[in-house]
Amino acid sequence: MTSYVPPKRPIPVPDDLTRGFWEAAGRGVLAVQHCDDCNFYTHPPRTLCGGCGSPAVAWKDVSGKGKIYSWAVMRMQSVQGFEQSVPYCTLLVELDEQPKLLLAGYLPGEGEGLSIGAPVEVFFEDIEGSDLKLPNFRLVK
Amino acid sequence: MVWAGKGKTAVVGIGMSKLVRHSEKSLGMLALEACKAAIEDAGLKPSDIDGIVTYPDQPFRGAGSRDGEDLVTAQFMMNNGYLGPDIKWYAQISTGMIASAPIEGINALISGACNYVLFWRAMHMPKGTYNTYRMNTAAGDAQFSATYGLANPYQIHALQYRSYLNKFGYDREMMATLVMNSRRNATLNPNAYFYGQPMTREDYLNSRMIADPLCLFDCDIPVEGCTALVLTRADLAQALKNKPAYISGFGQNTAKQLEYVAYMVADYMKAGQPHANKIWETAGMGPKDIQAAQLYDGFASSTLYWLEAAGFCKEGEALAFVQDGRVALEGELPLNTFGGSLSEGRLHGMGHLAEAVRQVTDRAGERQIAGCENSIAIDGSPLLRGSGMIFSRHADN
Repeated sequence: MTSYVPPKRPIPVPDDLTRGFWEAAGRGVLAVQHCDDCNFYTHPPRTLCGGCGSPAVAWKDVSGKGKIYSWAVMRMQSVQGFEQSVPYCTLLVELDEQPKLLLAGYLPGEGEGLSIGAPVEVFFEDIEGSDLKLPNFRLVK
Repeated sequence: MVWAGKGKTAVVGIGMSKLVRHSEKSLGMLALEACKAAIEDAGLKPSDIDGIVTYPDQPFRGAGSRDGEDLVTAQFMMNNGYLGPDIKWYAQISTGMIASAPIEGINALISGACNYVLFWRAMHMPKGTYNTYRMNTAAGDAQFSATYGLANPYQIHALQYRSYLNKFGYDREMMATLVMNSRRNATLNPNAYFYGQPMTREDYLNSRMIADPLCLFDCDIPVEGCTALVLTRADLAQALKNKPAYISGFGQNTAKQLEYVAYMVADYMKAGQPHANKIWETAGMGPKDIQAAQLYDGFASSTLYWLEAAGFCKEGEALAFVQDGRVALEGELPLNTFGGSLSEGRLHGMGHLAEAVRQVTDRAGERQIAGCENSIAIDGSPLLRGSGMIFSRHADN
């Protein structure tokens, strides 16, 4: 007889386009794809720059600092492995490097202390079942 | 410039299956029923249909794709239907949204590719909870979203909605008025899922949160069913029994779009205005020419964005605009007169098209806007994708 094993959160599968993001996270740095031609940051990464269409894109370390662009309090399970985490907050973080350069994050709880525009900073979490590190964001105290 | 095809085509038949949560019948059977009803309503025989077009989308990411069960393709209709062997033109559309399919149909009619186009949208509703990301891995862009517990459209819409409420200083409780208005209209629509089920302000305020600030009643009601329309050229329409709903204008969203989470980067005015303007320009019309607006409400917040992007009110004004009976059947801009996806049921904009047809042909029963000359139907969200059309009582409106 087997007992119920709660599902794990999805494990990221790095590919040629995204490997630089996970390698940087592994050394505790947030990196975003950046265009050498027009200095535009593109996220999620693409082979062509989202600003000018140039293929001259490369990973660039960024400050990891930003502001809350918006958040939503999740009252339902949306992703497996997050069953025990409801309610939690889905975050969109606008990095300081560029307007509307948005990365996702999540915070436990029901949004206490959150407000649009509040400053946040990156930190790195372990991912269960993986050696990868997940960049996530927390409020700057 | 006004479109050369303005007033040259029309919808001449409407058919619907029942809209239910889960049907005992397969989706293919529901589509066959709705299409047959639309052909009969037009006063045509199935063998008259020589063009077919549909938008066979899955109900959610990762759903099945069995033909006739999870979706209904043009091929299914040709394999299993009562249509004759002489289909001259067919297409399946995956660009824009639902109205993109009849837009293709119109162009096929005008080009002479065919004479009578059957268009349908069939929507499956799987049993059980389906809105959960159930994979052990996150590949592609999901590396940057599912890993954070972010995978569903309602989360994206909730994030955008909070941004809207915050930017313009609104309280989410104001949305009750819009949602109740749609419910009231549905109580006058015997085809609606929520027919006979009025909603009070307390019902709205007490509804559970899904992704705060979106509550349950801000989300459309998922249903299973099909609605179908028959289109033809204006000259051929004169011989048929129904008043034609002439097609005056159309447009598709062609704004630069970013994928999924990143589509929030698009400004809804910047993305939606060019789309709406295409509809206005092809028709040679503007918001003042519209007596009933059917603006997509997969989430109630999308209707706000369309009200502003299409110019019915100014940027940031929509949640105030919908108050005080302004969008009621008796108001200055009757809105989602059939109940919308919120209260008729989620057919991804198909209900909006059918209602615009009804309103300009005096077929909307108790919710008829007297003398409605023009009705606009826009689907999708300005932040994502979309398409739209204007239907008119007269070919030269």
